[in-house]
Amino acid sequence: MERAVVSLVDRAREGDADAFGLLYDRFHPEILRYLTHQLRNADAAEDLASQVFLKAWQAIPRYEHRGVPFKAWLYRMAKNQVIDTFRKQRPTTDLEGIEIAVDSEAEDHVLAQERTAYLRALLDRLTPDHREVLTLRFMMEKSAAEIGEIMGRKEVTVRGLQMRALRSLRKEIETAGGMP
Amino acid sequence: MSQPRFEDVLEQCIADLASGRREIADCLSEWPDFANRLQPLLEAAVAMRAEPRITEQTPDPARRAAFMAELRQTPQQSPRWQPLRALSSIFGALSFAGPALGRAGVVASAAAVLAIAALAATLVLDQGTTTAYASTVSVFAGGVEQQTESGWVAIADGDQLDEGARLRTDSEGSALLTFLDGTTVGVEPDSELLIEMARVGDTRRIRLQQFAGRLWNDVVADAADGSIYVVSTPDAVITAHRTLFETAIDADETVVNTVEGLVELEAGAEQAFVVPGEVGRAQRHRQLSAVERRASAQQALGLSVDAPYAAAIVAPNGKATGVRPDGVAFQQIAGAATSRPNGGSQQLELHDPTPGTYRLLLRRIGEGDGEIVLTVGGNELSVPVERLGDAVEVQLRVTVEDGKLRVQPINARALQAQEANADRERVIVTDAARQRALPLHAPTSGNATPGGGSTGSEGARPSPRSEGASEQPGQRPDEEALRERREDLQEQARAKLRERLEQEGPGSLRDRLTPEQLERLRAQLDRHRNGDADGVRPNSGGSNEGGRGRD
Repeated sequence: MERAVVSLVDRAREGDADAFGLLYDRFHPEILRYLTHQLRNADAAEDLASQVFLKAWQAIPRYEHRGVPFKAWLYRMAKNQVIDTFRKQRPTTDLEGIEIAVDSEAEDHVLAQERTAYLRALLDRLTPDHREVLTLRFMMEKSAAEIGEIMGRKEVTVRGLQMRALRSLRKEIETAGGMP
Repeated sequence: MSQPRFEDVLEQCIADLASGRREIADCLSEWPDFANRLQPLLEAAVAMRAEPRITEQTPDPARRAAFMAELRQTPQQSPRWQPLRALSSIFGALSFAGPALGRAGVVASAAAVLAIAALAATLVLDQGTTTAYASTVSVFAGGVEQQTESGWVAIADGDQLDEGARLRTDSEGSALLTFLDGTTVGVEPDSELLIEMARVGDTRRIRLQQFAGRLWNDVVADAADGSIYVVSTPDAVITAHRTLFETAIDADETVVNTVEGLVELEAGAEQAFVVPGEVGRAQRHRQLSAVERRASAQQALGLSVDAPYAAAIVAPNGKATGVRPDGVAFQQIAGAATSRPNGGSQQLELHDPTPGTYRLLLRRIGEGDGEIVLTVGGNELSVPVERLGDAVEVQLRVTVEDGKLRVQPINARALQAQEANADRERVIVTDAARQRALPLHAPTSGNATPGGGSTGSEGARPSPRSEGASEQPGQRPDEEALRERREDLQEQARAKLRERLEQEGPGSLRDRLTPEQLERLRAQLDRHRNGDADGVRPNSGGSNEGGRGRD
């Protein structure tokens, strides 16, 4: 972990709100991006990001440098918040319920939207771990090593998980009759 | 040179595709031995490109300002537990409790002193032999807070709680503590407790102080010498031996309900056992009032799974009771217990279930069909389970109308493999729990599936049970028979206890009890068998060796 981050974390652990504000500036964009991918709703992601950082502020005195890196610690908090949110809302995406729009003037745009909705519905059918690894790998563009830090697993384990996740996704695509 | 692992080749190809260096065809031609396996996965990876990219942006200044304002109003948690700090936090708890709570505060203070004594003793006795471990908290609903030096702060799901942690739930709060040996404690609304000791090394040593509310304790077996699980309340000390039981603090008494195993209840100089089917009461001022046969629950839902499935039921708040196909059993719902489908049907019972929608999860463990029989309020309902695939979810709507419990199956659907494998029950499976899990065996005598059942993934619609003249549609079955069935289950639990009493060897129950206690317990169990167990009185002034004295 960067020395500057370590120093800010230490100050925040002692109750220095300004130091935590700098950590917020540093990590908020990435956590917000992750939450937006997970929730697919920018406003809800903004609200949840604030909650994640508030919880991090509350809990940072219990954070220890010898444990997970600070960024990974934030990711885990964000992930827990997402799980809580889904548990409360339990969004359901039904493949059969997706309307396939036709707009001759913006065919590409419509096709892209259609593919996005379709892919999201397929991802919703995966296990949380599979969804997580695919989101981090392909949407957050993280390496296997970075994903390992965030998910608390070894890099080699992440590669295996990624393989199984892609296999599950492929199966879902085939079951659904292919991508539009 | 050895052949690379497929996962590594896949990773390399994905990286190349992402960078634009190569296309799928390039990867396939480079790795012809892997081409057949690579192609579908790389195509799936390319499909992920359908998701639009989101760029990172600097925080909005107005939002940042609002966040910082809120942050400055938000207290932080205390640092992670350290031995010396734990002592100081107990002193802190003592000072919190004292002036505000009057007599209750005195009791709490006395409890805190005991906590200090116990902790100090442990620090001396356990040097180098037992490792201190935390428990993990699962937050199911409402507010769950931990006491810190700066006040009560919210606990996040998955937090680790160390010895010395004091937590409470609000009127909507529901949580579960999972210790490393797999023992769980359901913390119901308006409850408060202190984790005085939480050690699972060679022996399990868990001590809780309960100040208010209800705890649902599922204590796993530990035959090791010195193994303890103790709940202290303002009224009594409760010691458990591989037990499922509830401790509830009412206005002026502690009530212990035993469902499985054996519980010792001590209040002052009095001591008694509470066996399955009994309720023990200890009034304030440490007087043990009575141990008596528990009245049959008026509102009970029974589920008999006579089908080759491992069943689990998930309550509206997310807590679950049942068994997973890997043999891991869990009993998180207060008032609910399950048997294991080891060659026979799996029995689940929920007493006074909270109204709402429950999800019954069925996962196949053998071939064939069968049925599920719901029993509620003296009625039975048979749900055929035919050709339903490997995993099924049945939704049950539970309501209470005019004081009567009503249960209605409202939906059933087959689960995809991924859905079935997902964490539909929130169970923290510790290494110890995984090692303890035994393989499951489906019912050996296949049930004849009642005719007229439905088929396919939308099946499992309720149909009247059709075996036997006494269970024709619309006919009310014999309530006496149902009551007897419930008592049979309690008697089965007592029979298990009798067996354990006769088992010998290090760490056995016999080894832990004095001859007098053993004799008294046998007599108590015999009275149940003879049907005259109402109003069992505690032995006054009995030996204290069976309870705290052993620790």
